[in-house]
Amino acid sequence: MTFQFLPNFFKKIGLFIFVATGIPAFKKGYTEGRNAARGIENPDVYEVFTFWGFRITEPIYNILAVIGIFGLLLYLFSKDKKMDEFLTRIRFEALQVTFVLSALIIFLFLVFEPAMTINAQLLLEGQVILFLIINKAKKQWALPGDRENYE
Amino acid sequence: MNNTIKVERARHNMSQSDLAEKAGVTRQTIYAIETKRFIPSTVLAFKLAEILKIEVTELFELEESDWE
Repeated sequence: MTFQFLPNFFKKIGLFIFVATGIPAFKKGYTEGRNAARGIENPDVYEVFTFWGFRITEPIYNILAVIGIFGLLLYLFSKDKKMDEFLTRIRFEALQVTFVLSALIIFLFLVFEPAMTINAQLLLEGQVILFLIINKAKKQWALPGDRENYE
Repeated sequence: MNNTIKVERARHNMSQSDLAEKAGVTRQTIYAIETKRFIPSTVLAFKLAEILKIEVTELFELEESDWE
């Protein structure tokens, strides 16, 4: 059974939406981090920050986050260009590594920074990015060079 | 599990890509089978044997470690 029912080109669309809507989140995180380092307090109720001249308020930021997750779903529901039993196994292994790394990161935070909180959406996004990188790397490593192709 | 895919491929003058295309899998899969990093499913094993015009038992052979 597969839930990948959308054509392959939706993968690119989904990834573009996910990355594009993630840029303001990255800027927000960076701004907050910089403010914290400088001892400047962030407004907690109705935060406003500018991004390429646009004023991004908390509601807009939340809408972008929802669109980003939608992009992610588009990516996940899109068919792969080519899939076979070996690539399915690689994907499963990438999922396993992602799960182990996520558990390890959470464990380290609990031990060394117990007061730290992490947004569920950011955690999910981080896991997806981690999975995509591991899956891509594993696929690349499994690809023989041209010389070996004819050997 | 040992296999003679590489030898049979050479006999038929086929590249990994050619074999992969005929079997409907990726080049990575053929490479992984040849290097014994992946054991194919029964269906794929039969497909490969048919493409290479050889018996499955001649293409794949159990080795000692498979019994452990």
